[in-house]
Amino acid sequence: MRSYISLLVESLKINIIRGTYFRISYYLQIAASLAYVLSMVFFWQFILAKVPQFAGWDSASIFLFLAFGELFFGINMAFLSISGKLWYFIRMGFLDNYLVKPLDPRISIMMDFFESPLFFKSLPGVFLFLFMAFQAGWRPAWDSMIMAVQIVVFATFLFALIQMTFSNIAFWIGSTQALDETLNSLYEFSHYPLDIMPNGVKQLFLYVLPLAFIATVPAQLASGQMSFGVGIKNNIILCLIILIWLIINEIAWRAGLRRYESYGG
Amino acid sequence: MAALIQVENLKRYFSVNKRQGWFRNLFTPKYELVKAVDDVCFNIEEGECIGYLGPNGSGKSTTIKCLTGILLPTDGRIKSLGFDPWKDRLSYVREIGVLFGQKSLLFPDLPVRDALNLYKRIYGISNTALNEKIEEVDAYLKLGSLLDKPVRKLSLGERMKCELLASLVHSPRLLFLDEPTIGLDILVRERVLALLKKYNSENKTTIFYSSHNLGEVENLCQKAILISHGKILFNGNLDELKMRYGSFHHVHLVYRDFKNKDVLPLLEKFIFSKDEEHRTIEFQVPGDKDIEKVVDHLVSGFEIADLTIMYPPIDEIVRTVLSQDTAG
Repeated sequence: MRSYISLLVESLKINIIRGTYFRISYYLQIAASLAYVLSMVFFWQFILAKVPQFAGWDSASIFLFLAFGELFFGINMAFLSISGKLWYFIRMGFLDNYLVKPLDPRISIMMDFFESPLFFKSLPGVFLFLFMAFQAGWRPAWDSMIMAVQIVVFATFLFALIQMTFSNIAFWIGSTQALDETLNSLYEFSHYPLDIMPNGVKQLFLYVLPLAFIATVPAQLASGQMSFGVGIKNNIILCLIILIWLIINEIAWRAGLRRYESYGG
Repeated sequence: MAALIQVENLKRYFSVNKRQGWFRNLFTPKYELVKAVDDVCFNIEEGECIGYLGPNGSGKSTTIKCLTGILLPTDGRIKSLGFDPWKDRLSYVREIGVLFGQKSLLFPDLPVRDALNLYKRIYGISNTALNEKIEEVDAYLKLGSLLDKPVRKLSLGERMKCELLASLVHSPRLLFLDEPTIGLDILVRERVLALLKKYNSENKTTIFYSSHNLGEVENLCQKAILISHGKILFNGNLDELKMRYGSFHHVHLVYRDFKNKDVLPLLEKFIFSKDEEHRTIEFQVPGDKDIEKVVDHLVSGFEIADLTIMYPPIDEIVRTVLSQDTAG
């Protein structure tokens, strides 16, 4: 574990060095991100001016929801974006290089493809949305806020884990691009508060494809719509879902690796 | 003492989609079994340097991938450095170095030094050890300022020098090299071979060297394994390979003048090439008996300026063995 932490530190260092080589690109990305955030602010300001309560969500809750969505996006892009592309490494035989290193190839691939500067790209948006929520009357309860951020971090990991697990199917069928694209399409649902959906769909997004943990649950918790106790209950559910997906992922990975055929002899 | 690498009845089969028209393939695909490695057995002792030879698609790379823990064998047993490469992969790969000529261990956007720093962490080696390793390799490969350039700015030869350094950084006991000199110019190739020779002779690193370049194998290795269609055709010393399959000798003659032209008809059938302007003749002589006769005729028929008798070149021998296998 210690060696993985030391490696993580070195990877982040290398990643920031790499970031400096492409700094102009990152500045442009930050500008693009700000443009998106501002468009969201204007869109929701316009909607909420017409409809002050959106299916039980007031403007402060909506901006909190957007802040957590942006935080998820930042963590995902910076540290876990390659998880859905693992199938490509399997199909093209790029796994070879990782299998001859004394590391778990999945972790090794993640570290190689860190884009840590992208995390900073999301921060202006997060703070702007939090500021808008504050302007709309929200006052943070720090215990709920900390738990909400922790839920977002765990949800990001869970989403990456699900993508990676589906990627493992490439050991059997060669390419899981379609599955990756389907998951990405479903992720679009996380842009809307999921408790506006019918109960069945809500349960689906809570337990089966747990997109609700990306922004809906954290925003409910931080805004006070959800009590701290219910937040803990949801947190436990999230941890259990992560555990289940960890087991499924490990089984699929091990079974898949037995079938790995590399590339070119 | 047990061999460093023991391979017993190694098999690696692949199921490959059979070509039968796209429509039929859509609904009733058929597969055929390709035996990439088929019942291969060999042992390698510590400190040996083995040339692994064979034509394209013979199973060389597949064998290396099984030996390095990348592929799970279909059947058979591998014991290398006391490990099962596939089951004990994480501990095993710490002890070995691997270099694939067509795959990179480095990061395209980063200077080589950053990748080396990452490897330093992966293998838990100190800064001093890393710097000593860089100096050691630099003495042979003349790395100069290469380590500070981004990998994508390096030429193929420069990159391969750095790849070799990356594969040696943790001082592996066993080194697997799969066509490491592919695309390199003669100077870089010589330096790479000199470094590998040093590692093999001084550090006693065991080297498993797969290549198409038979001259390199002859230069570097004492032993060779020849594989074709997934089966081993030869496993032994290079000299033994030459003795067993070397069907003719090469004789290179440079003469000042003729002493006796009557011998010329007797030599005619052995002549391979002739250059009268430079007074040079090359002969190909089958068998040990004929070579004695040819030498007698040359001595009696020419005023000899220079005479060289050689075993056939290794690539000629390998070609002979492989053509026998294809014919068989």
